Formats: sequence, structure tokens, C-alpha cells
Amino acid sequence: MNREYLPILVFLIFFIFNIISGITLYLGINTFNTIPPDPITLGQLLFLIFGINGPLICVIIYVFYKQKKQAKK
Amino acid sequence: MYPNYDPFFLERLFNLIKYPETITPTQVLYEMMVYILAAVCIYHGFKKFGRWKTLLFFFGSFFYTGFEENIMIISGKVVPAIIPEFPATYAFNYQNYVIWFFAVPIVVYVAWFVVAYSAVHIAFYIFKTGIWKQAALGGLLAMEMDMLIDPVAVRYAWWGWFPNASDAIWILGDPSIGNLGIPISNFLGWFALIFFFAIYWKKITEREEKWGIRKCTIVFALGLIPLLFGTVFLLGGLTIALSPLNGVYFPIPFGGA
Repeated sequence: MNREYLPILVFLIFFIFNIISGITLYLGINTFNTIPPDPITLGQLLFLIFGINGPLICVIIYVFYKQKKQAKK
Repeated sequence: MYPNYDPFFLERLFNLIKYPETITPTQVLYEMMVYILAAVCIYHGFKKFGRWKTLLFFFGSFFYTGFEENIMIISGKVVPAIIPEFPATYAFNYQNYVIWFFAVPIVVYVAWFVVAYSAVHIAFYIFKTGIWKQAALGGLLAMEMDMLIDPVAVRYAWWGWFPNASDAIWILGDPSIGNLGIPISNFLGWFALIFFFAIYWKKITEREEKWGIRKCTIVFALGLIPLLFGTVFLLGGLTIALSPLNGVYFPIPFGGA
């Protein structure tokens, strides 16, 4: 695997981890402590992931696309 | 919601572990995962930039962000006792993390390094030249990542922004559960920290051939101090300057009743 991918992969893993945290919050799963989490609606969760972080997702896709294109050359 | 500073905030400030009895396997697992991601970044840095530049990034970010967060948190607790107009700021939940450095969990410093390093690397990859462009994109990517992290974290009470933090603009709250918004200065802070740090790191490490490693390291370490206080004053100044607008508030759409 191209080593250049590593930080991008790390960024992606961190991003996915945060998405999972958002999903567990929506489901009301208590992860760390004994304080029950305050809820979040499905609409809010989707907005945070795809609305607010839409540009970030686009950048990640662009970077992977660019990597792939360069690898072909 | 995490309502206020921990009742033993100052008493346990210097403890490496604040509440040993509250540590859970999930917390340990989470922190381990962040450390593994950091190790991957360090490995990548060693191969791409060399040992010296990578360690400068790691320890520099550790010092820069760690002290910035500590100053913001501790001043929010201590200064209002002397100057009542000074706003309380925020705090990490003492019962939620394993190892601490004063008021900030070690994992937060390391996570900051992970996000900063990977975001800046992506920016370097997209823009081959132009440190201002690269730093701006790195800062924006990290800030966007935080726009997902923060609303989730405050609802889990991993950390809390205090409602009396007289910040002007609160965003991503939810009126149906009593706001839980995040002050805009937090996001400006994310951008500013990574933007300035990336430029500083690049500019200093570019002088390696001219100055040598020893001189570069000393200049880097000494220069971080004014950079740190400059950033703290910039963010504190922004918070105070925006204070008269307290109450301007942009909720997350699609909330409950």
C-alpha cells in the first residue's frame, strides 16, 4: 500500500469514529460514563454528517480519486 | 449536560488520574485507539519528513494546544473570582478520561496531533506549494471535523461549554433540550491553532539546512511561547469582543419538539 495514504486513512478512521459516536448518541447508548446522554434526532445526525461535513467528505473523495489517478499513471 | 467545573477541579488539577474509580474499559479502548492512530501518523512522518521534523510537529502541537487549552480552562475558573466580568469558559469532565496533564486529558492532546497532522498532510497533498493555502485548508478540514465532534461530545458530557461563557454566537445547539450549543470561538480556535501552527512548523523546518537542527529546535521551542500567547489573546479578545452579542444562536436544524 502506498504510504502516502496513511494520514488520509487516519483522518478517515477518525471521521468514521466520530460518525459512530453520533450514531450511538442517536440510539441513546451510554458509552463512557453513567450520565445518560442528551438525545439527538436522526435529522440532526444526518445534517451533521452530510450537511456540515459534506465539504470534508468531498475533499476525502477527491484525494482518493487523485491518488488513484496518479497510481494509474 | 456537564453543568459546571468539577467540584474538586482545583484540588485534583495536578493529579495524573482524577477519578480512578470511574475508569471504564470503553474509555481505555477509546484512548488506545487514538494512540494507535497517532503512532501511525508518527510512523508516516518518520518515513516522509524524517525523525526530527515529525517529533517537532508532535511535541510542538502537544505543547501548543495543551497549554492553550489549559490556559483557557483554568483562567475561566480562576479569573472570574477576581474579575467577575470575565466569562467562565469550558472544562473536560474529570470522570471521563484516564490520564491527564492538568485540566486536559492526554488523549485530547494526542487526538489534536492526529487531526492536525492528517489534515495538514491532506492540504499538502492537494496544494503542492503555497504554505498559506495549505495551512488554511488544513485548518478548515480540522475545524469541519470538530463540527461533528463537538455537538456529540457535549451531549455525552465528555466536556462542557458553560452557558455563562459570554460568547456572542452559539451554534449547533438544540432548543428542545435547552440549547447545548458551542461558542463560535471554539471553531475559530480550531482553525487558528492549526493554521498558525502549520505555517510556523513549515517555516522553521525549511531553515534546517541554513541553521542546522540544533538552532532550529531552539528557535522553534522559544518561538512557540509568543505564538501560544498570541493565539490565546486573539481567541480571548474575540470572545470578549463578541460578548455584547450574547444570545445570537444558530441551532442544528431538524431538532425535536
